[in-house]
Amino acid sequence: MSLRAVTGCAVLAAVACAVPELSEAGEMVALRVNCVLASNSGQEFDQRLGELKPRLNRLFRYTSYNLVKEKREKVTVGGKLMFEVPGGRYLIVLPKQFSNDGSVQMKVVLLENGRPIVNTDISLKKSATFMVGGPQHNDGALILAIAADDVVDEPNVPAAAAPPAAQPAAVAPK
Amino acid sequence: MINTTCREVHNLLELFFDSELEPRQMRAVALHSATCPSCEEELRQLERLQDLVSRSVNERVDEVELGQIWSGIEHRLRPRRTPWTQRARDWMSERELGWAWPAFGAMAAAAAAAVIAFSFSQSPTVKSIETALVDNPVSVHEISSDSHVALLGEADTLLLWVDHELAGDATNTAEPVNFEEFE
Repeated sequence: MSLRAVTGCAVLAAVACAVPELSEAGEMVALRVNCVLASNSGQEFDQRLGELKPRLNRLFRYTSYNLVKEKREKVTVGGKLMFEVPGGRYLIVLPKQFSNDGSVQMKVVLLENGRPIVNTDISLKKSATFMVGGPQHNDGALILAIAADDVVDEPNVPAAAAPPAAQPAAVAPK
Repeated sequence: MINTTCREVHNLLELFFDSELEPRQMRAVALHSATCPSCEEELRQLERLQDLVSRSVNERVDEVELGQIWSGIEHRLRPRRTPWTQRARDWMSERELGWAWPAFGAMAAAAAAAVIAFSFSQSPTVKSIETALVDNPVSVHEISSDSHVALLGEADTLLLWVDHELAGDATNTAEPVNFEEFE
């Protein structure tokens, strides 16, 4: 096992221990994270990116977009979503609370080799997308798109019903 | 020159009138003219001629508009404005810093290149950089990063671009994650 893998596992274990159990309110948010590799080699646009296509086209000038990974997960407020990003990186999304305007406040942390590249607090409304881009990978840049597909208010959700803290993310075929 | 003849004095009268003779000749001509009506008359004619010329010249000078002449020549007399580069060279030359001019030029070029490089390094593929949009359905409250970051808002999307070229932990000076803050 490489040092990078060991570090990643240590970070995951630390997060799993540090983050509390489900919040008492049991409010949940359905999060979706897409990891896109954008580059200027080729002219391919991965059809699986779907509704992200117009957003990517408006924001970037890359010629090629490929979906590397995708993860959908309902996360309880106070919980977390762990997302492994190529290159020894991890994206951690932690919903903190809902706001009166319907948005959910979240902390988004991007780690590389156990150290944060960026640590930010955001508010995200339904149908909106927050992107973190820039990490280099292969011949392109990684773009992480975070969206709250749906906000679910499920009071008194038992802790046992919550999804596991970290699920292995399915790696999309390139 | 006591026995100076009229012919000799006549040849000296103009010089006498202009006081261009030696003292001895001046005295001899003066003595002769005082006793010679012809030479005295010659001196008086020279005097009238001088008065006439002087009066004519003065009247002509009074007719000249000196203001126009000054405005015509003033711009030629005004010191020419040198380019700032030349003035900088002169300034450094006066202070014996002429050797530094190439260094300053190189520094200026490097600074300009750095600014351009930084602008492009933000992301050559991101279309434009804007600040976070207040009314955007997604907003950023706080960002903590050791890397260069840029926010780009567009409709219902907010992009946080991180210019992070990490070739190893040596360049990442951030402290390891304190997961307690996530609680």
